[in-house]
Amino acid sequence: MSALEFIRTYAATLLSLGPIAVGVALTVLAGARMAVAASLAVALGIVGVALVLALSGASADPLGAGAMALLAVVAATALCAAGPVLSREFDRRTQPIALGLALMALGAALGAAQTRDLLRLVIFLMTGGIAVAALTSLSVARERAVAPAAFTAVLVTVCAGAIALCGVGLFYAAAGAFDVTAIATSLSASPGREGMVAAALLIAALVAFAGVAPAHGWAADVAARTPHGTASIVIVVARIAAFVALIRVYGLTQAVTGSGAATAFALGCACLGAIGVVAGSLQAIGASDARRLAAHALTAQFGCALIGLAAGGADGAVAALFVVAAGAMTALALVVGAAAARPQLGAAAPMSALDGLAAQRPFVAAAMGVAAFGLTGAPLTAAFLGKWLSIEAALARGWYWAAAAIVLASFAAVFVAGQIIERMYFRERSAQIGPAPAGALSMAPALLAAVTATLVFGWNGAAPLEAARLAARAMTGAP
Amino acid sequence: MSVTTLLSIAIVLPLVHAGLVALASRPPGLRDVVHIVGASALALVCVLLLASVGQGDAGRIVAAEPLPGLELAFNTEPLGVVFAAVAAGLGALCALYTVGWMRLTRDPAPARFMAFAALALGATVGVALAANLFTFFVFYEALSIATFPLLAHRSNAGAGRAAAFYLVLMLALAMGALLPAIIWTSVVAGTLEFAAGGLLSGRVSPLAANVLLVLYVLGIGMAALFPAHRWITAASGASAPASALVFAVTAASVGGFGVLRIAAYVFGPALHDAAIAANGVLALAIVTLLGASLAAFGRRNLSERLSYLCVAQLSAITAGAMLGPAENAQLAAGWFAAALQLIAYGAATATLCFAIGAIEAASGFKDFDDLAGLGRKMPWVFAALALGALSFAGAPPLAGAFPKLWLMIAAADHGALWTGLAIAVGALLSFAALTAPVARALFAPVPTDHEVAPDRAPLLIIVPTVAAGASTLLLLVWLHPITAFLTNLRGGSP
Amino acid sequence: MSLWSLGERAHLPLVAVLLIAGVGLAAASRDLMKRLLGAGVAMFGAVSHLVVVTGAPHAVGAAMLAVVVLALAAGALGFVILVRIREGFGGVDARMVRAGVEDDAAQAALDS
Repeated sequence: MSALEFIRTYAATLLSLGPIAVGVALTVLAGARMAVAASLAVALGIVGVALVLALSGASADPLGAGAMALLAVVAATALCAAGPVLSREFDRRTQPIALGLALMALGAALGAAQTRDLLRLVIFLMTGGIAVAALTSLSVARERAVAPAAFTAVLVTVCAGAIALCGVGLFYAAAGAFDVTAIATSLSASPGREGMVAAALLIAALVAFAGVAPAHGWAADVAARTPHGTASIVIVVARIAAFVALIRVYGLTQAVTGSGAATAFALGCACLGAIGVVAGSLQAIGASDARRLAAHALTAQFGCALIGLAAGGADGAVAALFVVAAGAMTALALVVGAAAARPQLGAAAPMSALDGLAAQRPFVAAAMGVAAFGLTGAPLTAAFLGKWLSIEAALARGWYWAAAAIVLASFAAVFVAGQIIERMYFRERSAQIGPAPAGALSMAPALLAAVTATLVFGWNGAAPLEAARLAARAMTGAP
Repeated sequence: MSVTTLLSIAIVLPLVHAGLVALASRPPGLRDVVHIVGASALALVCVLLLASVGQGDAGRIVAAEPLPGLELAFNTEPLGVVFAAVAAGLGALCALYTVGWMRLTRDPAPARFMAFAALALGATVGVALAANLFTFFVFYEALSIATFPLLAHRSNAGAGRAAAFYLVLMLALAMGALLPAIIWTSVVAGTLEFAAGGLLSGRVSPLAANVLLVLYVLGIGMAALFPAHRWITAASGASAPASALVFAVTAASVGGFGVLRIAAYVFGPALHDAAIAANGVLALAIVTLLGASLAAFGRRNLSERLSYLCVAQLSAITAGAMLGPAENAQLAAGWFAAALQLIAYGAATATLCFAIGAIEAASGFKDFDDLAGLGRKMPWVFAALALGALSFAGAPPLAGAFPKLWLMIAAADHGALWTGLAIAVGALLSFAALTAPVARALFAPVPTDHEVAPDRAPLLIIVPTVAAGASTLLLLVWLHPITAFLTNLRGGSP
Repeated sequence: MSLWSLGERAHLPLVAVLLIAGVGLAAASRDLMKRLLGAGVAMFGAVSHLVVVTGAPHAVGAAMLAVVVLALAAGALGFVILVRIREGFGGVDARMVRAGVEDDAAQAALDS
């Protein structure tokens, strides 16, 4: 077996278990210097595997192109996660632990996004949740408000994990398998109430894991309260992975054709989406912290994606994946930008940290500006196309209320983006906040990747759309 | 040069122009030359495009395809080409004027202003040449963003607030109403391509047509229909080149053009299906016209007075667009009137903005009461001001006369005599509001305490002002070719 | 009737009770310790449900083990954080902790 074949065959394992194993090793064993080297090696490894998959035709791969869209983001994020450690966000003793936890969370996210086995899915999600909570709790000594946020993350992980496991158990009882394709086949052959209850339980759990409204409060809390940048970046990735899993499980409910249950799930999903879009957007307006704002913006994007998912019928998963990928870019750019704008490492990022950023850190401000416009769904950003797909799907289905919710969110987003841009470009930085720190170069790759993807995919959405289509096909097991 | 090449140049040139101005911010001489040459080149390209299209050539280019079936495309549709040529021509005058103004006022950041002016002009040309609703929306949004720094350029808090209000209003209306309307159109019609017969005609129920029309008109906030008119009146304090660019050449004109474009090329005959909404918008336009004309009287500040009159003139375009073709009439007199009004509005507004700016820059006077006798010291500027004012009032043979005539014909076609009457009253009010200060400047005795050096405005300010004034005579020589040119809009021979 | 088959028959209602009670306790209790306990109860229900449904074949043995290890790890982490909360806020009452966090936020806003 050649190296290429090996990578293609074991891509799923390499991408998920690799980072987790390295992460565990780092947490237990390593020193600071080795941690940084290991994290860079893992990041490069992820990029390498992604490249091999992309070049050798991901569509034919058992992995499915499902994780492909996410890979670029995650690889860049892993690189970025190494950055704050490099710039000594933690002391030498904590550095390897933090990096190890971040890698575990990233590996778990990759695993959750691509696995077709529901039991493994829950394991990956719980691993990610615990890693995020532990990573957050590392800065308890700096700020006591971190502890309750981390505690909530633990509770959400355990409770959502329990609900998900019950759902998975019921699926097993109904279909005798954990594999998505097998369950879909079995459900479409003999639809039963058990399967639907299982799907409902699993979706409820995934809603909590992903921080989809109305269960989004904990995600915003963790993102905002943890004073280090790494955790707030990692949580974006973890949420997205859970959401991708949600899209996969939703596909199961639609496998049962011709029953009222599928329609009921679609309608419920769209309702959740509408709630998320409105709640996320409105809360983003009132956010007092830049990373909280980004977290709420991601909640709103999830809402938009859910509407696209529910309304789009067969193409729903495509629309949802596209929206989520676009939202991920925006959220990532905002989070990384907010982390870079903080007056000092290890401090919170109140909105006032953005004041006058354009004068001090023009490139970070420009990137955040692009993200802010992406937030409003301005044309020629990827988010615009995502919004277009969702509204089009909702209107085509006659769900005018869902389209109206997205429109309302756009209104709100204009105010949010206006606030960000006004602070960065039209305000003086107050002396109390202090100057933005000298550039952490390690943040640059993630920021650059997010902004480039936002603009390039906004200019030509065909490639990511095709990737999303392949991904959706692979996820739902359709030919 | 082929039409498609010209189209590509017209789209790319402003970007290059903006980039070069930003790069050549020093020395000032080079920067100014780049700005003037860039804007003039765009005007030349647009005029060449007009000439080729006049000879029967046509072309379409696709710049990008973000989603399958969703194209960023441009074509040489006559109305768009005419508007692009007018905007780019006035844009070139604006460039000259901007250079003069920046030198006179020793502006701290002229390169930034010029770069965004180039982008705004480019976005306007993009809107004009857009082949479909998606492209229209993209450039409309780009224009909102590019004109924001122009309005905010005067570094006082008032200008910043007005500019922020403008940006938020435009983005919110475009996102909240225009975009849903466009997506809805795409769902209903399956295409977004502008079509001379109206892309919605025969494809939409009366209820949807009415709702869509309301969404479109609401979404195009730049058309300044009440209550969105506040963006113009709030921004009246912007600097003269910014006012000229935003009110005459780019944003406000694009608002008028957008409403006309939607009425004629998206609705077409389907405007009859949306009769309730169309009549409502028409009534709102007339209310805006009369209200703004009356409100202008209350303003002693010349710029403020002008801003209200701009609102009134713009609503005449909307009125024409909503009148459209009368049922069973061969002639779409309303649309033709709106197209003419678009040209007349641009020329006259640019003249007035230039002239008022020149007066302010040269003498420091902003108010109506200060003008007494000033006309004899600044004869060229005040002559241009008089031409612009008379064109606003619809005095023949100036450009403003022809659209008013056609608007009245359209109103008569529809049996909407009240509309014709309102337009006549509006013209009279405009006449009174603007000719009074001109008369005061030209004929009142000079107060003894005035210490104004005779015409300190430099040549770079006076030349574009006078040229813009002369352009209000444009339609006198151009009416016949334009009548032939816009045949597909007019719907038949007059 | 063997104990296993009795469990198989009664497990669904039992699991439902454990899940609802556990999650309810974890969401609504004032005492953070009880919240953690509730989450543990829910997880116990879920794991036992899985064991009964699958009959714990070898194929899923590793996965079950992983779930149990994760649950224990989460419990330990939660407990450690609880200790820090008690140190930081002087107790584990949910309302008191929330008030403390809000005070901190207000203070931070005042400082900036």
